[in-house]
Order: sequence, then C-alpha cells, then structure tokens
Amino acid sequence: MGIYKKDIKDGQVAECLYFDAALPVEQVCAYIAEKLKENTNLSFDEHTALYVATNDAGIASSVVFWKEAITHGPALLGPRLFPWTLANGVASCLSRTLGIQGPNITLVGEQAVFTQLKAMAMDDLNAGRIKAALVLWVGLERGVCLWC
Amino acid sequence: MKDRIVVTAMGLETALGNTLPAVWAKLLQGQSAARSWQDLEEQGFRYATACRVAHCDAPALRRGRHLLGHALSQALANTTTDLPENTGVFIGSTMGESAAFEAKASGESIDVSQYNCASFTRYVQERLGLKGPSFAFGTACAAGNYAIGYAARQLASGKIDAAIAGGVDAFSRIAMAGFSRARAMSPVGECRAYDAKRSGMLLGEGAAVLVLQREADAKANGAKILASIEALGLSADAYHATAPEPEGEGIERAIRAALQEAQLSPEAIAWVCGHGSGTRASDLAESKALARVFGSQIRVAAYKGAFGHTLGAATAIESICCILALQTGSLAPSSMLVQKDEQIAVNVIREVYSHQADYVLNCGYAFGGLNSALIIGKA
Repeated sequence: MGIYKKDIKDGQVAECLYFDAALPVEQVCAYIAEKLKENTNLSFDEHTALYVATNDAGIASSVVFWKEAITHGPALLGPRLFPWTLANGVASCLSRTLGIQGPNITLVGEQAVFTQLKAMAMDDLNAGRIKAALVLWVGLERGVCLWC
Repeated sequence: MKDRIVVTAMGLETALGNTLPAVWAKLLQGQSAARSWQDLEEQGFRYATACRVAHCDAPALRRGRHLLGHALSQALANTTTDLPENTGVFIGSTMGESAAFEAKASGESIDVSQYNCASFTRYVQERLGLKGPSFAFGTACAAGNYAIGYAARQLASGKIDAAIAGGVDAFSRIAMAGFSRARAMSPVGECRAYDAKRSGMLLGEGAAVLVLQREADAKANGAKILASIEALGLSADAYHATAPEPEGEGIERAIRAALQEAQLSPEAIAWVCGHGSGTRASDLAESKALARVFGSQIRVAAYKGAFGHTLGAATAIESICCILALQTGSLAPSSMLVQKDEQIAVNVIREVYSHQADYVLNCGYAFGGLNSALIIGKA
C-alpha cells in the first residue's frame, strides 16, 4: 500500500492512495478516514460535504454476499456484508467515521466522474450550501484520490 | 430573477401500475401491489411477499433497463418538444442490475462493470443520442431525489438546457436477502407506515422518469408545465450503517436546508410525502423531525405500502405522486394505515384530502444515514 501525491490542473493537491483490490471495503474506509484526519485541516461537521466517485458501486461486495447466499441459503446468510453491497457504502462509512453530517453524495462511473464531482462540489460551495468539500475517487482496483 | 425549473413530462413503471392515471386511481383507493411469490418461497427466502412488476418479459440481467425504458418512453410520449443534444441525464439506483452480480457469484463469466447504475445513464444517452453530461447517483434509497434535485441545479446554472431525471431498481434478490437479514423486512408481508402495528418494509421494483427544463424555455417551446422543482436539501446522520439516528436530527437538517434554499417558511409546505418505510425506528425518527420543523398538524402520507420500497426509484416515483396530487388538488391517503401509532406526532392522512397546495415536500432516506428533502411546487 503506497501513497502518491500529484498536482491537478487547478493547482490543488490530490492525494492518491493505492490499495490491494482484495482488501475488504471496511478496511479501505478505515484507512482513508485515518489518512484524511492526518492530512487535512478541515472540520468534519454538518457544513462539510462528502463526494465519492466510484466504479465499484458495491459490486465486489454484492458478488461475495450472493456467494454466501448460494452456500448457506438466503434466509441464513450473515447480514454483515449487506451495507457494503450498496454503492454508497464507502461514503456512508466515511461520514460515520469522520462525523461528516453535510451532504453525502456518491456518483458511479469511470474516473471522469471525479472531475464531474469536483465541479458539483464547487457549485455547492459557491452557492453557499456548504463550507467545505471532500471529493474522493474510490476505485478499488486502482486506488483512491482525494481533493479538498 | 431566478428562472424556475419545471417538470414538463413524466412516466413510470411500477408493480401498482404502469400509467399515471392507473397508478393515481389505485393510490386514491388505497390499493397495494403486495402479493406472495412462489419462486421466492421455493428459493428459500425468509419472506416471500413483495411488489413486483407482473408479466415483465425482460431478460433478467437487463430488467432494470427494461423498467427504465418503459418509464422513459411514457415520459417522452408526453413531451411536446425535441430534447436538445446537451440534455443531461440524471438517474439514481441502489443496486444497479444486481441480477448480473448474482450471476457472477454463480460462476457465470460476466463483465459486471457493464451492469452498475451508470449502465442506466449510458442507456438513456445512447437511446436518445444525447451528448450532455450524465450523472449516475449511487445514493441508495434516496437516489431519485438526488437525481431530480441535481438536475434542477444543473439547469439553473445554465450548464444544460434540459434534463432527464429519475430512478430505477429492478427486484433484487440480494436486496431481498439483505433487508430480511438486517431485520428491516415485514414478517407479515405488509408495509404499514406510521401504523401502531407496523412491522417493517416490503421490497418493490420500478422506475420513474421526469423531464425538466427552465420555465422560460418550456414556455417558449409550448411545453405543458406540470410542476416546479424548488430545492433539494441533503444531510448525513453519520450515525450507523443501517439504523437511523433516533431523534431524526439529520432528517431535520435536510428539510431545513431545502427550506432555506427555496426561501420558504415551514408554513408554506402544505403536506409531506414521507419516506414511511414501515420500520419502527425510521418512521418514528421521521415523525419527530417533521413535528419539530412543521408542528404536529402537518399532513403526511407515504406510499411504500402501495409500491413496495422501490429503492433508488422510490423518491422519483413519489415525486410523481406529489405532482399528481398538486395537479388534482387531492392527496392520496397514506397506504395501508389502519391505526396510527400514538408516538407518531404528525397528522397522517387516512382518507383522500382535497387541498390546493402551492408547495409540498418529498422526503427520502437511505441506509448509511443519507437524508434528502425535495420541495416541489405547483405549475
């Protein structure tokens, strides 16, 4: 697991964290949260919004969840994985872990969606709906990028 | 002066019906699409009652696309003008085409990336030859409100000249098993929001599509104006993966954010289309929030007892219900209510309520603590 920093075109710094694709989403969330706490000076509260772009959309967890259903039957499988089958699993986990109570948005798509989300965040900031924004790309095969 | 964003066409596909008049008539009569399904019993599901679209001959892996396609066709049939090339597409979904993920788990060789909720926006763009931006909202059971609200924001900013917005979710065995095992599903097969004997949710499926434009453009094109989209308020509980924050504080923040953006006082809202999932915790938290913002006399109705919980489609379908109520001056009764829970501190509608409203509020919440509140205005 490594951390890479690079400039993006508007001069802000994006931090990209690369993960092993096999890592459980729960652990990915915990790791991102830890890094965010270490590397940003934002106050995590109701005035901060979280924007997550992802191409995973809970699919990896859905496949594992349904394999368990096939093995044990749908009436007996463990419920622990279910919240991670939803596309907003990472965003909701980060809001809980960091205490971010503002808007919580997940967009699904390829990495271009990250750019769309940054524009959405800027619009929401300019409109005064929020005071701070955290924008992340979470692609479990490729890594996580942060912009704030 | 800010240009109003208006709805000029809409369509839906649900287990209750697949035309606007049919669905509205059944809601006014208090009907429900819930029934028991033998295939779910045979497959070993704990509960076998759900609201599914009968006689749907779509391929299992593209059932969501099929539902969305029907809703889209219906909306387009009611559109009087051609959509511009830069029309934006905004679709919300909780599960995507989850039958594909089940197939992958069963060992089929399948590229699952072609079945996530972005597959729905791609479908709409390709079918209509649109070149505007697309937004696939993976914001679970509140996704329809997100899609409609952000479509209105993009229109207001002038980035696009029209929008197709809505939500879709096909019946998902993953969701059926997951909600059952999370103890959210009604063991008696009835979703009775706000009722003293409510016992949980029912799973449904469906799709809803709305066409949005700026009012000036709609008028210039001779489009019929059905309603306006005034504001979207959002918040997160930051509390629990599946349970709502019990006092509804996050819900209250979302509602107040919507009111602030719309520059409306709580008194301006005539009634609320509630989330009303039928779970004890969620309905109670919602009623506390509504009572704090609007007072205990605020009229509330919820329709998941009629449609089932259609997940990412729910708030889009319920937005259409709000618009039909605004158009007809009649609020349909809250579905399946028998005896209101004394702890539910709002005025839940039991019978058709006739009222010419100016503004209504459509609330929707999601697993993970997401809260959304969409204010819809009369035409």
